Amino acid sequence: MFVNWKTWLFLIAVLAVAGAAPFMVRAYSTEVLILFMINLILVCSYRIPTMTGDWSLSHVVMMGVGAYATALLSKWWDLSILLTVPLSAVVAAVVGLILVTPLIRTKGFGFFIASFALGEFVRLTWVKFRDPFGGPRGMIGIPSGELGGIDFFEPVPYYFFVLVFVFFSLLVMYRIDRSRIGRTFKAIYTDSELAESVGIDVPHYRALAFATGAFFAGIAGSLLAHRLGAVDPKNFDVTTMVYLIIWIVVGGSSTFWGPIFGLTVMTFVFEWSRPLLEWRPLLFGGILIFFLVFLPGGLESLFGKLRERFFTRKPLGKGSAGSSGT
Amino acid sequence: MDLPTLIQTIANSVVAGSVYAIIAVGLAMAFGVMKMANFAHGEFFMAGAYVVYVFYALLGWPFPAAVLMAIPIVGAMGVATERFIFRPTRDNVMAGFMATAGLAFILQVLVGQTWGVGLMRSVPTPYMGAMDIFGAKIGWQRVLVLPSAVVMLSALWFFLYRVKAGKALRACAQDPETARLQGIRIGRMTMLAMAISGASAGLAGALMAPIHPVTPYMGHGVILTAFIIVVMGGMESIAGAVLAAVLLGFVHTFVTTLFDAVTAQMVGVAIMALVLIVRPEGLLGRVKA
Amino acid sequence: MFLKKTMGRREFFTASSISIAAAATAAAGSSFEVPSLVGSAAAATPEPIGDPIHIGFLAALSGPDAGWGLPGLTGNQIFIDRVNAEGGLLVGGERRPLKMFAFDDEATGSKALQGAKQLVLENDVKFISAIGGNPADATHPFLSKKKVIYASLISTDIMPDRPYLIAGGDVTPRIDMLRPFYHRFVNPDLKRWAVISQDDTIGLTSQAWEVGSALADGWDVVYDVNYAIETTDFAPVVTALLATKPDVVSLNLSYPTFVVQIVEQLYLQGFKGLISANYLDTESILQKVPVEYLEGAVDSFQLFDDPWWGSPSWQHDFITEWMARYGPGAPEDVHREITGIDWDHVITLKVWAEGVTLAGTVDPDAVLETLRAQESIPSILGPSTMVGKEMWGIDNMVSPPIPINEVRGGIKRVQAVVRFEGWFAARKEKIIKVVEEKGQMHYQR
Repeated sequence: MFVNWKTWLFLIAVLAVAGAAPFMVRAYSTEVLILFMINLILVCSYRIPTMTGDWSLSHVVMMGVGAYATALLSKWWDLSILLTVPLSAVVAAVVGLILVTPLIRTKGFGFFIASFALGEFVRLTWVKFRDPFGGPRGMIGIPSGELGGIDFFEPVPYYFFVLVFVFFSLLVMYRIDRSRIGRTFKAIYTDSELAESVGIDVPHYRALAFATGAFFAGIAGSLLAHRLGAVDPKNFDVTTMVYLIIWIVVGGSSTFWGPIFGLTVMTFVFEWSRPLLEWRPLLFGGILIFFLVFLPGGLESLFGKLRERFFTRKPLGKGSAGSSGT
Repeated sequence: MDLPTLIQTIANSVVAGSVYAIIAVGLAMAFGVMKMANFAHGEFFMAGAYVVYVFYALLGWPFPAAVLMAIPIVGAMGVATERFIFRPTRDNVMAGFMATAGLAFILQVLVGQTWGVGLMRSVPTPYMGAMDIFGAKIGWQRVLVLPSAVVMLSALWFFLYRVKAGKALRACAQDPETARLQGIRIGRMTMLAMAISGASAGLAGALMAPIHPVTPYMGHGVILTAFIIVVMGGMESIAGAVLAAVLLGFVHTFVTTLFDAVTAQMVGVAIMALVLIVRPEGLLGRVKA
Repeated sequence: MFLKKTMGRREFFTASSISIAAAATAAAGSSFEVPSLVGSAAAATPEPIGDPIHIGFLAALSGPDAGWGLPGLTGNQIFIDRVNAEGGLLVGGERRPLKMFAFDDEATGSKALQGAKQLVLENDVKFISAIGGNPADATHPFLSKKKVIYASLISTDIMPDRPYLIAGGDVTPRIDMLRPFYHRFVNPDLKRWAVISQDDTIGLTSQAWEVGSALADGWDVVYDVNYAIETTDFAPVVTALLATKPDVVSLNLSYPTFVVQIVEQLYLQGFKGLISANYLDTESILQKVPVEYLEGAVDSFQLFDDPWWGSPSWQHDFITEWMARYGPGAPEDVHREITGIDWDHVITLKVWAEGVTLAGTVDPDAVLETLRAQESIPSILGPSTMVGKEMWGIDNMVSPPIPINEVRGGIKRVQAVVRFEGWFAARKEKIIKVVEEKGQMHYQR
């Protein structure tokens, strides 16, 4: 499946650490890790539509669709968590497809604004209709789920449940990135007219990217809903969307790992900056501006530059420095 | 709907349309010239309201003077935004736009920390009392919004069509390459566009300060509406923005009165989606070649 | 705007046997010292110092809703420092110092849950001050499991399946239920009652209770509507209301900014009757309407420097201390005026503290049981009880006496302090029936 054993080793090391983590840290930190992992799925899922150049502002609303779908499925049919998560993801993908239909006629900046407006439309339906969405108060009473007698209310069992989803989701998204479809997406981003001229059905691929991103966002939303036991339209508003953008901007989005890195860094910053109280949004606004103006490629581009500096200086033949990592 | 309510609603629609027009015109202009939009445009509106709060409510200046102060102050904010955010990200429209989202956060926190968050600031109503039109009572404060909008838009029209700098601005919006060849300095033009953009948003906020509760987050509601109008009108078209603003003002107000504000927002978005499907270049926009 | 009153208020209250302990003492000019079981450190040998007790403050500290949360930190801190000046809270023979931990939940359910988890798992808090609403919904499964008391401001959050959620800091909806009663005697010529508030849970529920009470006290409720919470233009709202020609316009628990706009519209559209509300932010309202218009308007958020309390008094002391510590130029200047929220959270905090001392333990079941058994618990608003079973399904409502203020020359002045329990007992069936018809009883929501 993977090219070399180094990647396998890396993967196993990561999994080992991830598996041991909840037993080595305090209970609250396990909760933080659970949220981190859910956000991990979210941020990687956002990368997929951006691969075709579609920076939508409605992505967290897709997560919300997954969350609300889970809430409704649990309330109406009392389904097991093994069913609610994938079903919610499908609902999110379908809503994504519906939304992208008018959006496909716009691109770049117009796409940005239109996606913002349509996302808001969906969110406003949750706010407006108390039946069935609960209105501004949202919905409560979502079960935390259980599997074979293990109650997911406790953080440690739920951590492992989420870990499994994270592993498979990231695996699939990584494969998409590496596959022909992924390359097609990137081709569209680079030059969509050229892509069209060689016969690529651009609208079709854009829609596919959008819906796939929505699918995984739906998974994240569903896992979140089960953890919180409640959904609230405020969770999925433009402020949350801006935070998602901050993760991706800080990390960079040209490689698969960029967003993951950005999320990790910003999660630390978020937790450590708690003492700042009311000043926090200012810090994040500043970080966003700083990166976009001075380092638009994100931290991953910084590493690219550093790696160039340190590795490509070595004369040929001295080890495999040039081919380390991805 | 009985007659007084109908008249009241029409009057409110006129006010809403006027305010929307002032707000949207600035956004359309900035986009036309720079192909950049300002996510913090709502915060410029908020800044204008706070200018009035500070000068009129806190320092006791006469209301018209306080409103006029909003123009240079928020205009300067627009220029600063252009210089420090839009210019460095000129090649990447998305980056510039998202950076202004960061700017929005910053402005909200700065204003909130300086003048307090939470319970809304009230700006005293300078012109209390109401005008009676066929049984509907319209507060004087609201009545003066329409003439202010007309004056501002006329001044803008005059500038764009009769003043050299304004004509250069239009040229820039229509065809930047040719404009540059003609010797027009793009940097100057973008600065000018953002100055006007900021000034108009600030003016709108200043006029609304006694009518709207003044909070650091009052820009939230504005930005979505502004974008819808600009998209509806045709991204760069100023005339389109004015037309769409008036239309949306009426739609929003009537739907709010008949149903509620959330439904009104949804209807506005739905109309925008319809326009995008049927006529993506907007009401008065140009078809892209 | 002035309405004739046929009998003086003092005589009326004496005749109706409503507790006016405060009125009597104010008239006599003596102090209204809030008693406490904690007492002063008068013991011959001071008690040993035990482990600290941690308290959480989980509310919006930033963002648009910060106004309901952030100011509460000051009042809580003043209270905590007073307790710690005695060595700490007296629990089972030990003095245990109090320490407060704050967490910003931005009024969002998800962040509130995260905050609850941090406060309980990391900081081991035993009590949480909060605003309520969505955060209450999101956090109660976790907090119930962990047995941590959560003090919401809003009584509508109380439900039988939330054993550790108490409320009562904000006197809604009891005040809205008592105002029709107050006006019935003070303004006996009036008949037509109109009430509006926003259509969220607080508004819908509180209004249901007010309507039931108004009907029970003989009013014609001519207008009973909840406007959308997103309303920005109140002109049409008020026009529709005034079409029914009410004598009294009640704003129930409309949020402060709505109240300002509604009163402004009432003025512009020429309403000449009585205005009655849960909370009138007179300073803001008087920037929109002339002083004469507000004369005689009624609300229930008293000012702490009101001469009614007498001097010295807990209330006057609080204001002085707050100004000295948080006011302009003070060491911890917060750059804003004092608001009702600064002391609002202390109501439940102090009641809980009294319960802990009385019960001799922080165990929440014991504390709540002890509180419910008390005939009277000292709170900063006066002697309270823990009641609420008929209204909310569980006795978790802190019920202090309710002040009723009238605006005089632009300033609110307490006119009466009213006890809820006796009045409610005499009318509860009628009122509950109306609330049930409106689908607002706790088992219907």
